[in-house]
Amino acid sequence: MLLRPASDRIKANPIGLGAISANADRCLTLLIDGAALNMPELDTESYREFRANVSKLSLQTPDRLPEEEKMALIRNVLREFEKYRGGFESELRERAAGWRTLVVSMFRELLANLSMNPSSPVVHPLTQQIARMVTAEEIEGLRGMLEEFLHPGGDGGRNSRLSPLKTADRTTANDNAAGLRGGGAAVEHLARVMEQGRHGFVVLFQLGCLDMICERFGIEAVQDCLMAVSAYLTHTLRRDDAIFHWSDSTLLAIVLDRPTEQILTAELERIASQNRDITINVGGRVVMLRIPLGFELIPIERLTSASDINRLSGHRVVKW
Amino acid sequence: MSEILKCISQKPGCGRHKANCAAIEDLPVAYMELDAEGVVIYANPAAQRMHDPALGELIGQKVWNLLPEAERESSRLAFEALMRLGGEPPVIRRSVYTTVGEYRTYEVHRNLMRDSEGKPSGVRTVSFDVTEAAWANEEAHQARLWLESVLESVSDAVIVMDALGFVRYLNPAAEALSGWTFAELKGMVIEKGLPLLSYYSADSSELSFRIAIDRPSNGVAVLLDRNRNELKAEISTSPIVDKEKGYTIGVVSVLRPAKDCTC
Repeated sequence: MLLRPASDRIKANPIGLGAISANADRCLTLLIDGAALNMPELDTESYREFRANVSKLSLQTPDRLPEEEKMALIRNVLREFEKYRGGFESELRERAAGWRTLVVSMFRELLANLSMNPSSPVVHPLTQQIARMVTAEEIEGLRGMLEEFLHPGGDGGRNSRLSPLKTADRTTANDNAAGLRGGGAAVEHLARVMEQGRHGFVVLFQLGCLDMICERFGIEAVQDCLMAVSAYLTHTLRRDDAIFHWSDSTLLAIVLDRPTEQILTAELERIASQNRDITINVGGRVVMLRIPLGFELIPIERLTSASDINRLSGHRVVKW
Repeated sequence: MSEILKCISQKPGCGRHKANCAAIEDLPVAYMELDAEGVVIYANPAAQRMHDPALGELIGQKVWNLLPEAERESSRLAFEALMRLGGEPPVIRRSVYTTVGEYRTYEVHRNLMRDSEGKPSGVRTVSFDVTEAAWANEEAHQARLWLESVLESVSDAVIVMDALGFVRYLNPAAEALSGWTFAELKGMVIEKGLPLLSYYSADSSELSFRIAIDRPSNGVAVLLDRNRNELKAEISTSPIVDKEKGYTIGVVSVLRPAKDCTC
């Protein structure tokens, strides 16, 4: 059912410009055949029918046909072409609409998996754009918008997804290496905070060098580190701040009631710089590691719904 | 006369609230006022207690006379420049002989006093005793310099890695042997900088970073240097253990070009 390039068919067929005879009637026959050949094939059935009809008409153009009969015949040929083109275009429109519907439903499925609200102001325009797109430029534009929406960090995130350590945790259980509740619980907690109208920030803590630790000492060492960092953060943040396991290398905190972003940044910089003396046990030997701890802040006010934090993949922290 | 003294002695002319002057008197740190010539015109009781009476009365002394000989001239010139040019005076450190019978280091915070035309008419100073901190800082600096000098003087190549295998230090002999400069190799994973091709030891043990962080080892290794030429070297590696806590914090490797061997 694919469109076959007309040039291939021309190469396969011996008819060509060089074959046009000096005889005008013969030339007309060849012209009709040639034009039919150059019509694109959308599906084999209708194309075959069209070719058969045109071929039948072209055979009715014998030499020395009276002029008025010749014109009637040409009109019939044109009608056949018009009929085929009409069917072709309506089929094409139908198929494009079918694809758009499919893409929209798949996109909605993806949003549901990410626990995102399809009617949120960020998502809704994308769905509308998918339903509207017609031209190649629009399709390309949408592709860029989707890429930016789903991977706001850009290509770096795509590469880092190859790491075995980046599995996102959207559960509400606390059965992970950090001993913290998962990202699902973070969304629930944030929803409650937003309902109460409280001010605060979502903070993503990104642990560095975990790939290297995994390579050197195995996944158990990574889990030890995650546990140590989560214990450290729990100890250093305030009691009413909540920390969650966001991915194998990222912890997410929801911190409340800080006067300004600048003050919180200073507090977090201090916490990150004092994240020392993380020890792991390697074959009975206590090894001290210094794990770089990066962070990014997102003011809760900038989120339209709690599920928006699902866009923070934890692969690459987003700047807002 | 100092405004504070005027105020305290109930004389008219003090521009400050009396309570402020009293607070300055009660300050636990030394506060002094100097006139444009560098003469001490006011010293609160904390400053007075600092000063050894054997050096004469504090009020009326040129401030640089309180400093050790080596600092006097440069201090006087800096003060004169400050009076001439104005501007915000920086925080400075000065050594002052005190009643405890030794020179102590003070961090001096200053601002300018100005006359009615806005010209510098003197300096207010608050001094904090930072002797211990300065001494500890200097000691740490000297200790670090000493250790770096020792390592740099070792004729064998020394490479130090942290517990993850990132290179943290290499001495000049290691630079010469490997072809890498310290700046280039610093922060690089050791296996990337100096890949190990083969290793031979008397006890037939293997060598990897994981093994090196676990126990000392000695052997002969074939490595690739910066130009990716083979480099045959006797290599000794050992875990670095924190003396206080007993944690392993890295690995140190010592290399020297190998003599002919059949490895």
